[in-house]
Amino acid sequence: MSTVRVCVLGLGGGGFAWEAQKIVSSVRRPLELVLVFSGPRGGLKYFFSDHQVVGSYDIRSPALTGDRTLGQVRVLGENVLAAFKIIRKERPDVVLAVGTAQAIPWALAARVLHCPIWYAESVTRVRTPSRTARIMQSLATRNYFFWRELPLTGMCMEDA
Amino acid sequence: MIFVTVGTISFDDLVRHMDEAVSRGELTDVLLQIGSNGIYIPKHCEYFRARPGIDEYYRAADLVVGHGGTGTTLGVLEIGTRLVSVRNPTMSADHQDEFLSALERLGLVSYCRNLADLPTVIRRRLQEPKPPPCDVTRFFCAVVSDLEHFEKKASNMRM
Repeated sequence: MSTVRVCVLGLGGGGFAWEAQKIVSSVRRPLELVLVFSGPRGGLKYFFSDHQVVGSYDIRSPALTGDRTLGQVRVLGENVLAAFKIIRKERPDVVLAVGTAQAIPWALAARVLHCPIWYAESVTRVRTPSRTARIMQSLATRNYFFWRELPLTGMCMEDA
Repeated sequence: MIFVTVGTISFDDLVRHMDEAVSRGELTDVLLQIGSNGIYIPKHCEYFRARPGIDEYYRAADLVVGHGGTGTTLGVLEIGTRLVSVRNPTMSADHQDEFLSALERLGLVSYCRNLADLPTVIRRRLQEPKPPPCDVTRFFCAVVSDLEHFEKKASNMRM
């Protein structure tokens, strides 16, 4: 079975990172991981997985609590540029984002570079989708969510 | 042992309620994780702010009291320790209520909606048998499956 190179966004502690780690750790196929840590101060840089880590980056995510609008716009731009550079350098087969707002700038770069980007809504969202999930409906190559009450299109895992 | 965890974001109301319950003799053998920025310091319980390897405390505990965060909730369910969950209302985008209510419907957590009821809910839950470990991968099954069956195509990436 060939190795798949996956760029994982939104790491650095918290629920999104836990969910992303659980997904990656559950995959029974060799993966090469490119990890993108984020958080108020770059986030916590730990990630436990049996898969090989081939790259690791530290980029502040937009839309963190406490950021002002102008700051968020600046970070958004920084993320688009960083996404272009990292996708071109690491050539992932797929970019995976769980819940994180970092998915939006990365989706812009991934679409231009023809790299698939998958967005999974956080399992904590049961009836009300996040703003990121609503935006990613039109940006992601694939959208996933768990609860069937969510007014989203994509793969509903509660029905799977 | 009852292990109480607030995760990375402080939840002083929960810590204070647990500490007061111990002071009144309603609960015993309580260990609190109060978060790196928790302000309320327990006077009647052992506590620590944050430590790596918190799963070991989940395993050692008879019951875990946790906030409604993903890592805590699914992490405890995966191990199979009794769990009483409390929503942290100070979280931005308060969706813990939705999440915990949904898990309660599935019979996976005891959701305590009022902190004043917490000692009663804990004592009742302690009377119940320990739950079996829950396969939390079910919450992510399609993503995992798609990664396992991902077919690499000749790259048409613009590089």
